[in-house]
Amino acid sequence: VASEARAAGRVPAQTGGGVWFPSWFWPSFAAPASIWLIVLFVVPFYVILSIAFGAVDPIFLTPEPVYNPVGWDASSFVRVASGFTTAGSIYQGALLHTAVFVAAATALCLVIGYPVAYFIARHAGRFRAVFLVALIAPFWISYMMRMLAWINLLQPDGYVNQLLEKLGVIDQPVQWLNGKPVTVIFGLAYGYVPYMILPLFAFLDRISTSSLEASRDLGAGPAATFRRVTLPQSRQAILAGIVIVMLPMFGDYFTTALLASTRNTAMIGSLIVSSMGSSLVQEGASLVLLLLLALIAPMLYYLRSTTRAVEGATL
Amino acid sequence: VSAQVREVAPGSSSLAGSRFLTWLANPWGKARFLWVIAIAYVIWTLLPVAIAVLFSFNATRALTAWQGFSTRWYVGDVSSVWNDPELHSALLQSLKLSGLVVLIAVPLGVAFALALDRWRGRGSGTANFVMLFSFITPEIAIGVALLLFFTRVFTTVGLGFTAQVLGVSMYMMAYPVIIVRARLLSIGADYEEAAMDLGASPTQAHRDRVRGDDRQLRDLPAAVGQRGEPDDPDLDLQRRAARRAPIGERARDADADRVDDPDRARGPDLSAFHPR
Repeated sequence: VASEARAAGRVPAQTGGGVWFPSWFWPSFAAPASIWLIVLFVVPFYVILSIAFGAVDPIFLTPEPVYNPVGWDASSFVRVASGFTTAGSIYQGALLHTAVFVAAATALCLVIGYPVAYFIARHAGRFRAVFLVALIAPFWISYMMRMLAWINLLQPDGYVNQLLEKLGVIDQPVQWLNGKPVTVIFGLAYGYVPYMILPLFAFLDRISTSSLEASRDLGAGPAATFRRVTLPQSRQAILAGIVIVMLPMFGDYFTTALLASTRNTAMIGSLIVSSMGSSLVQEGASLVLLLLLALIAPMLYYLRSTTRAVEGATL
Repeated sequence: VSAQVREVAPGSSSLAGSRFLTWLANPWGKARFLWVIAIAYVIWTLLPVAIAVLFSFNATRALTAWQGFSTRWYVGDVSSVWNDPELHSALLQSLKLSGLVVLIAVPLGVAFALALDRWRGRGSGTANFVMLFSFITPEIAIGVALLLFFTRVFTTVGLGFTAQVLGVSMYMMAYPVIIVRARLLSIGADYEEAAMDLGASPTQAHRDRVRGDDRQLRDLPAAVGQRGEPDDPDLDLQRRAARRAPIGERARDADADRVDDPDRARGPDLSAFHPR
């Protein structure tokens, strides 16, 4: 009982297993990692803030961080933010590309990922382990390697064009790597779909078969059972999966840099990366803040749902 | 299942095709439509990488035509990994970086997970929150934050290998924390309490619980840390791409040189912090 209460966070550790330890004992275990996080995560973020809201050296035009919030100046931040609403600006273009690419790639991930997760959870039978290994394998191959693999396949004389020509879909080679949005969308979907499938699978696997049998016994066909039992129960997993793939996609600059890298495929991530190397460091810092501001809601949703999952694991 | 399948069945042209689709659509058979999707998915995810690996054994420089088996790009050729000093050092650098990161991130992360498992007092919630936040913050934001930190504030370290180790170890630390913590939560404190009821000292009880049930899990983050491989699907916590190290950057640059696009905006190198 004590451990359950403790796991639920209601009772301090002293009433659980740690009764003989002094109160500083367990927190001290967290100290090294906490120092790491403060120095290398919290403080660097404060540096972003103090540069985005900081001053600019009048002679060298280099950004001067201002650490005291009293002296913060939001003009650069406001300029970048208003750039998003200015029609035809590079910021608005990047925002549009990012939104379209992420939405399309996330939808693609869901359309591909759901049937695969459903299949492995329900129908894979004795091949389940094999499919699970195939699902996890992409995690062990670096993202970069997986993108480079596509670069070879998508060359004008690469296997993709060869295959499409043989099938009679195209007459002449398609220049896939010449800044085609569709290439970037497929690249993103290819890169992130495993992250969609694993949580979906974990969730679909937990839906009890008895409720499915009950639905069938009550006269629902397979389609109705899917629509009225499985789908509503997996709504949470679908949301979690969408957030999981969406968060890194919004910050992605790498996929578009490798597979397209023209101005009409630039994403917000690409802008941030290129501003860091130029005199626009302050703009870059503001862009990072805006990105985080836009993502804070899905991030908090994700934190909340995983915390719940962790606590649910003990019950 | 069969509803999806039925939509596919009409609209077939050739006889063989229609026979195949009828077979596929048979609602009393296995979920054939899903089998096809799942197998197609596995091929789609793994075949490109398999082809890329295969082409590393190609006899010529060609990337699109197979011209015989050879190991010249590994050993032998002037520009092979073995002979090209740049590739050589990139490989060593990757190994050094991942080794050091594992040595730092795993002990820190495991200790943090143990602490969170026991310590429910003031501050533990915040610590947990910050840790998880570092885990889900987009890599580019972390990269920029660390870049600015090391170039503007912590200039005694500056950019370079030390900064790489510090940055990547911070970013990777969440993996051992999440994996170990999830496991500790699922074991529960019961074993430890039972051990103490039977006369074991708290240290002994803790050690036995962790050693007994957790051995694989304590090894797992070490194995996993190198790739940044998330695990435990039960917790919906896995979401990240495998990390990559300088050898990857090297390959990317090689590729970047090949595509000559005037519009190509090649940014600065965030790779010091951005493992991608």
